[in-house]
Amino acid sequence: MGEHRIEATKWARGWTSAVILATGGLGAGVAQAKPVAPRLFCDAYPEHPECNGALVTCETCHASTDPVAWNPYGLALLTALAGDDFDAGLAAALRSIEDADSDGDGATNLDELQLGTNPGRAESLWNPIPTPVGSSDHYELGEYDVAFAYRRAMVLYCGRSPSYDDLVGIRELDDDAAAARLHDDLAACLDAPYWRTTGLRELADPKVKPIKSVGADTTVIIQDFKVVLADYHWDYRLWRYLMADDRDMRALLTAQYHVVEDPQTGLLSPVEGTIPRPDPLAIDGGQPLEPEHRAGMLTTQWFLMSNTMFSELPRTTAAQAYRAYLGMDISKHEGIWPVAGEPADVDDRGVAAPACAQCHSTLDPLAYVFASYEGIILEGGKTGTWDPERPAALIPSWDDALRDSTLFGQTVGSVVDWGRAAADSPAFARSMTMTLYTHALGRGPTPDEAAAFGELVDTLAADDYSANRLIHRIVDTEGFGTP
Amino acid sequence: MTRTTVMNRRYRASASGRGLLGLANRVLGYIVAITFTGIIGCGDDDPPPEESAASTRNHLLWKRAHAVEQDFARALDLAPEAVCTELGSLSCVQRVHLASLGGHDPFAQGLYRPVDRPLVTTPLVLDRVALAACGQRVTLDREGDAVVFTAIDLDGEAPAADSAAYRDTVTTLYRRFLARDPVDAEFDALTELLVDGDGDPIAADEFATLACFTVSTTTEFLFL
Repeated sequence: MGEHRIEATKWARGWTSAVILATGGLGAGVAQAKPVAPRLFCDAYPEHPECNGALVTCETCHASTDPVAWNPYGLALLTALAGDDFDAGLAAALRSIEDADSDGDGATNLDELQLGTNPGRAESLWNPIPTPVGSSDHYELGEYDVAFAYRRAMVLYCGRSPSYDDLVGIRELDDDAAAARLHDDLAACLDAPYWRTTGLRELADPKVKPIKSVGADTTVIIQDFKVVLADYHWDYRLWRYLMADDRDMRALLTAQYHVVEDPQTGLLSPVEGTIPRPDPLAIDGGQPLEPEHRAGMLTTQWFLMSNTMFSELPRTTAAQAYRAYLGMDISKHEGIWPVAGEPADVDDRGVAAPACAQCHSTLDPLAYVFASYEGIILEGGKTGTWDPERPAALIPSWDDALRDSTLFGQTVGSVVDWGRAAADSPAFARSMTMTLYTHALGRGPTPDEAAAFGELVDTLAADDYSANRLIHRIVDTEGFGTP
Repeated sequence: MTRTTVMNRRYRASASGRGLLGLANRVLGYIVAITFTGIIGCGDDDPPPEESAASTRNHLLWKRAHAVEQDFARALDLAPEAVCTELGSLSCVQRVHLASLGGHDPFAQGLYRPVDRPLVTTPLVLDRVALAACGQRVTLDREGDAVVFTAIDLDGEAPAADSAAYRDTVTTLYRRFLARDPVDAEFDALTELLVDGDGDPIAADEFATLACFTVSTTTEFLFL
């Protein structure tokens, strides 16, 4: 273990530097930096499209954060603040410039904020969609067309276009019957092999980030051992299981079981307890973590192996959890929610420097509870296990009493709590809705779709966090079905 | 134009030109000819094209690799893995041109997301896939019981523009690829495929391949 820890330290330094570059390097390094601004802004404008389960980014006011530079809206706000205390005076200053058109694009700042365009960039504008002129031989242009939606739905969720007979049949029905047919056939697609295997798997790819050469399918063999550092198929199976059959997708961040697949039928079912590595020639590949320390996708052996690796403080792990399941990429200044007194720079990486602190005041407190989970341990069967002594063993200045995590201003004492708080957050609902919405439309919601998108997010709880029900609702939106 | 015709006649004279590769090459020649004709054919005296209503939403959904392969397979009654192969064994869609067709391979290539929009190579690849798939179907229909091109004699000349065989063939292709019937303007447009650059009828198998290629590479087929 000792040798591994020394190696781990070397790797961790390089890895941490990369994280600092990725997350802190974009940040500003001067006294004007105000990482509390996104949250205060959303307190002032909770109806802003980016404030429902997310936070605005620094780009709302800044042309650059390192060196600090403001766009015209930011300059107007700075002038309106007139040297007042930032936290206390921001809301009033924001109100005072609502009627101005800071970027000169013809829309007032308030109008732009309500639409979700940037009031500080003239090229960020939204023009209403013109009414179509004339008629089409095939579709009802400018209004929801069931046949159009049906064609899209079949391609997306069945993996093929509808047949001629299918489309003729649906066009012969009245609107209600056609809509019913659409949803019946969509339900069949969501229950069919293409969506349950390929379609759902592809949605998880950027969250799981598999690497074949160190996964269960590797062909790399060193000294008679297959270089299986972990098996990402466990991650995919858990994802596919929870995103189907109207299951509660919050379990993606709370499940304490894993999922196996019947090779004959393809049926997925949960399995309890720890799981030894299935291949004695492989380095790893089971799920050795005790169930009580599990938090769904956040604590699979693959997730901890591929993100924590050799880090003492697993910033990358926390950042990927925040990015993949809460929809906020700290390296892009998304979801900046600083914690007072942070970053404490417990591992002496220099992240308290002003240029880094903007992001690390959010990131480091997110990461503390992940430090009790092992990254890569080459002994076999230990990667991704829980060890409460790990942080203190690796980080000399570690103090358990001071190192709870903070997520959205809420103190969480373990990754299990982290996952539960995240799963119940508006950010999770928004992120999962965005994942399925973007897949369905090939883009995020446009300003004219912001209200409909917000309704989708808000109805997720009433639908018991079912991915299938959410997909049915997306297919019913104007954005999906209007040619 | 002359060069295309000469090339085409050379292929007609070649025994090996009756194979799939020969057919594909001949058809490629026609594609060049059609394109060229289209460019020089739009003189000032031509009537303006008929106005058709356009969507104002400017948001199309790209039909990506898997669905493209499935749709070609079903439209032409081919096995998905047989739609198009490079070097006779590597799937054009699932392996060689996956990213260009909007797919992604996270496991071996580290592509965790597909590209947002078509690449500069996407039209070339789709042409490649369409030509391979259409060529196969024509060959299979000529050599055995016809499945798609049932209305024409693939060993004869292309049908006349006013014939039932022509309309049946075009209708079949529209139904199989676009799940709808063609409109009159589309029947008219495809008559250009019946003759070569000199106005002479082309072979039926060449017309079949060209018509299949034309319908399956429309914007309507690739975008939703």
